[in-house]
Amino acid sequence: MIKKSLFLTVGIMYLFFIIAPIILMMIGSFGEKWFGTLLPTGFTFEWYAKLFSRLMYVRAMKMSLQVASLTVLINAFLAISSVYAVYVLNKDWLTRAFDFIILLPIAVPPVVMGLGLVQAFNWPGFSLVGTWQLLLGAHVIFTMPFMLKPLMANMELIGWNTLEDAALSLGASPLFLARKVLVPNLLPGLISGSIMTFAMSLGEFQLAVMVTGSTSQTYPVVLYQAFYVSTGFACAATTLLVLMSIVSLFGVIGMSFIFRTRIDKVSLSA
Amino acid sequence: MERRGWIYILLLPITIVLAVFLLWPFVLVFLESLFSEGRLSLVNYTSLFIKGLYRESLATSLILSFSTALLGTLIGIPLSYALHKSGRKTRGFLLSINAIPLTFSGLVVGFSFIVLLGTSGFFTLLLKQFFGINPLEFSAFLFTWRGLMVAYLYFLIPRMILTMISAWSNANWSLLEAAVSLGAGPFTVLFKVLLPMLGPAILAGSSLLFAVSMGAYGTAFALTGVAVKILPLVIFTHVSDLAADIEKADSLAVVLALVTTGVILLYEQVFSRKLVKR
Amino acid sequence: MSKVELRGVTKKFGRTTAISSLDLCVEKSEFLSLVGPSGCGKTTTLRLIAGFIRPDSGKVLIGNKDMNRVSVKNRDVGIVFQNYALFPNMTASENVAFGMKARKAEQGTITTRVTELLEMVGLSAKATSFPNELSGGQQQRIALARALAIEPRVLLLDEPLSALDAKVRNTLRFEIKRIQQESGITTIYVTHDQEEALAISDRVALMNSGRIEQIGTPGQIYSRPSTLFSANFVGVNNLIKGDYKGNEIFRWAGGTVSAACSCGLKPGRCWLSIRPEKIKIEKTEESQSNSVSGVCRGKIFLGPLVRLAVESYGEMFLVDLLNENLQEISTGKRMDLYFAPENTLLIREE
Ligand SMILES: Nc1ncnc2c1ncn2[C@@H]1O[C@H](COP(=O)(O)OP(=O)(O)OP(=O)(O)O)[C@@H](O)[C@H]1O
Ligand SMILES: [Mg+2]
Repeated sequence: MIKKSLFLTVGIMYLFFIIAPIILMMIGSFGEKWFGTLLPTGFTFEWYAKLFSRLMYVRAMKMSLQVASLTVLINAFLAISSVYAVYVLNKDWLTRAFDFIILLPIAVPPVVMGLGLVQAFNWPGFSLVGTWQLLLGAHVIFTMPFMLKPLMANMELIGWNTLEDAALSLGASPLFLARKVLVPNLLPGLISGSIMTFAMSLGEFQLAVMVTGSTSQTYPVVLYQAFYVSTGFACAATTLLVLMSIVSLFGVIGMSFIFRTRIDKVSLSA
Repeated sequence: MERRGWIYILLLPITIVLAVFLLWPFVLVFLESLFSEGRLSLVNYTSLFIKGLYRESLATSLILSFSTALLGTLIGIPLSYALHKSGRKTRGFLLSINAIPLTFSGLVVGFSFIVLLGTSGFFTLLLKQFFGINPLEFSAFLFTWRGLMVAYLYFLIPRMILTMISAWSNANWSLLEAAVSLGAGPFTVLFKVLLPMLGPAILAGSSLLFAVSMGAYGTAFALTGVAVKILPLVIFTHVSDLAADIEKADSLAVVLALVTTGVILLYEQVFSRKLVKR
Repeated sequence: MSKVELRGVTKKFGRTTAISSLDLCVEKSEFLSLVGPSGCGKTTTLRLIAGFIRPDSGKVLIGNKDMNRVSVKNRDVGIVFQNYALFPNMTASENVAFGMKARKAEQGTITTRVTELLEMVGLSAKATSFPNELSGGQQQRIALARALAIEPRVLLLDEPLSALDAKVRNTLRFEIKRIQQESGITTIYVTHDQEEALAISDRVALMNSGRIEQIGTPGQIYSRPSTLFSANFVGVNNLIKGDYKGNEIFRWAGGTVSAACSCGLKPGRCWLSIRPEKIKIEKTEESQSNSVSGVCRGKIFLGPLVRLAVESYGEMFLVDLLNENLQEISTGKRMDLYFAPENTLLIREE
C-alpha cells in the first residue's frame, strides 16, 4: 500500500508539471498587471474583451475553426475508406505502408513539408501559397495519423472480417454495409480521431506560419504577435487556444460515457 | 480474394492527397537542392559543411535532440511505470492529462515556459524570494539550447509515457517472477528478463523523441526568436527571408528529413516487429 | 431447402492447397457434419459454398444450379460463425431483422418474423438487449435466428459451439438439431468435436488435408472406419500394426488373433483396429477362445468405466470395462484379452 501511494504521488506530481504552466497562464489572463511579482495583481476581464474586439484575432479564430473542421471532415473520409481497404485487403506491404504513413508527420518535419508546399504551389501568375486551401491540405497530412490510428484500432477491436461476411451473407449491398454496419461500429474511433485531429489542427503553428498569408492567418499565427503586446493579453490569447484543446480532449472522455463502446480502447497515441 | 479487386480504389483518395501535398513537394525540394544558380551541382550540400551557420545548426540540433531524447527517456520510464501502477481509474485520467501537451503548438509551450521560468516568471521569482537567486542570471539559460531542452521535455515526456505504457501492460510479469523464484540475481533479472522485455519499447520511444525534437521549431521560435540556431529554424528563416537562397534551405531540408526518416524507420522496425504482433 | 453439391473443387492459397478436387453431395434437408483436424479445409469448404471465395477449378452447385457467377448476397445461404459475429451496434431483434431489411422486406413482415424467430430460439425477453449484454450461448442463438431469418436454402455453421462451455454446448447442440428438423433446412455443420458430429448428424464427412476421407452415417463412421485416418480420428481406438496372413488370421510380434471383415484384403502388412469397449477380459459367446495374453500396465477411472492399459507382445491395448468388481485388477497382473472377430477391423496399410 505504501508502494501504491508512492506511485500515486509521483503521478500527481507529474500531473502538476503538466498543468502548472496552463493554470499560471489562466491566472495571468485575468490579472490586471503582472510584472515583477509572483502572481499578477488586480482582476480584470479586460484582456479577453480586448481579444474579442480585435478583428485580427476574431478573424484568425474563425479561420482556424474553418480549417480544423474541414480537416476533420476530409480526414474522416480518407481514413474510413483507406482503413477499410487496408484491413480487408490484409496485404503485408499495405499494412507496413500504412504503419509508415502514421509516422509521416514525424518522419517529414513540418518545416520540410512547409518548404516543399511553398515551392510546389507557387507558379508564376498563380499561387496557392498564402491561401487557406493550401493550409488545409497541409493540415490534412499533418493530422492524418491521429485519425488513422484510432480507426485502425477500432477495426481490429470489432473483428471486422466476420462482421462483413455475416452482413454480405445476409444480403447487404456495399452501401447498406457501410451505412448500417461499418460507420456505426467505427463511431468511437471516429469520434476520438476527429477530436484529436481538430485539436491538432487548431493549435498547429509551424506549417501555418509558413503557408498562410495575411488573409488566411490562423489563430496560432496571430498568437505569436500577441506575445509582444502585453503579458496579460498574451496570457488571454494563449489561454483561449489551450482551453479549446483541453475541452476537445476531455470531450473524448465525455463521449466514452455516452457511447457504450469504450473509446479509450481505440483512442489515440502517436 | 478475387471479388475484392475494386477495394483498391478506396485507397485512391488518400494516395492522391499524400502524393499532392507530401510526395510532390518533397521531390521538388530534393530536386531543387541539386541545383545551384540554375546548374546541376552538389554545391548546396558541400556548403553545408563549409558554412559555419549550417554546420553549427546541424550540430546544435543533433546535440539538442540527443540530450532531450536521453533525458526524456530516463524521466519517462519511471513516470510511465508509476502511471501504470496508479490504479485503473486514475490511470485513464492521468493519461488524458498526459495527452494535453501533444495538442499544444510549440508556440504555446514556449510561451508557458516564459511565464514559468522567464526573467519575471513565477518559478524564477519564487527562487528569488526564498533563495535570493538573481532572476536575470537564473532565467538566462531558458533562452539557450539548455532552456530549449527543458521546454522540449514538456511535450516529449508524454510521448515516452505513451510508448511505455503499452509496454508495461503487455509485459509478461510471470517471467520476472519465475526468474526471481529461480534465484536470479538483480543483474540477471535486469539483463536477461527486463531489458529484453522492455528494450524494444525503450528504443522505439527514444528514437521517437529524437525525431520529434529534431523536427520541431515552434518552441524555439517562441522562446528565442531565431537566436538558437537549430536546423529547422534555419530552414524557416530562409523561407521567410526572401533574399536568402532557397536552394540552400532545400538541401538543409533534405538532410533534416533524412535524419528524421532514418530514425523513424528504426522506430517502426523496432516497434512494429517486436511490440505489436499482428 | 436445396441440395448442395461440390464437384471436383480445388482451392489454393498461394502454395498451400486448402481443398483438392473435393466431391461432396449434401441432400435436401440433410444434416451433414464436416469433421477433421485443424487446417484440413473445413472453413474453406464452407466459404466456397457461401461464395466468399471462388474455386480455382470445379463447381459449386446449390439446388442443381451452378453458383460460379452468383454473388454471396444472391446465394441465399445462412451462416453462423464461431465468434457469433453479431453486429455490436444493434439490438438482438435488429440483428435478426438485418437480413430482411437488407432485402427490403416490408416492415410488418419483418416484425412478425423477428418475433417468431426470437420465440423459436427462446429469447423473446432479450429482444432489446445489445450483444454485449448477452451470454455467449444467447448470442449464438441470436446469430442462428439471424441466419434463419432470410429463409436460406442452406444453413452453414462453422464451429458454432466451440467457444461455449460444455453445458451450454450440450443443450444448444440439440436445439440446433431440433430447429433443423423442424425447418427441414439443408445444413452443413463444421466441428472438430467428433462426438458432437456423431451425436447430431444424419451423415458425417471426415475431412483430411483438403479431401473427404470418409463419408457415412455416424454408425458407419464409428464402427466401420475405411481408412487408417478415420479409424484414428473418431473415438478412442486400438490400432495394431502387423501382418494379415490370410484365412482371417492377423499376427503381430508373438500375438495371433482371428479378425473378421477382411473381404478383399490380400495377405501382407496391415492394421488391426478394435474399440476399447469391444475387448473383454473373459471368454464370451462371440469371442470364444480368440485371445492373446498380456500384462496390465495401468488403470484409470472414467466414471462408470475403467480403462486398462494392457501390454501384449510389445503392443499396448486400451480396454474399457464396466466398473464392477475390478478391485483385484492391478498393475502387473497377467490377463487374457478376448476379441470377437466381428468387432475387429483390418485396414490396409497406405
Ligand atoms: N485466406 C487464406 N489465405 C491463406 N491461406 C489460407 C486462407 N484460408 C485458409 N488458408 C489455409 O488453408 C488451409 C485450410 O484452412 P481452413 O481454415 O479451411 O481450415 P479448418 O479446417 O477450418 O481449420 P480449423 O479447424 O483450424 O478452423 C489451412 O492450411 C490454412 O492455412
Ligand atoms: Mg475453421
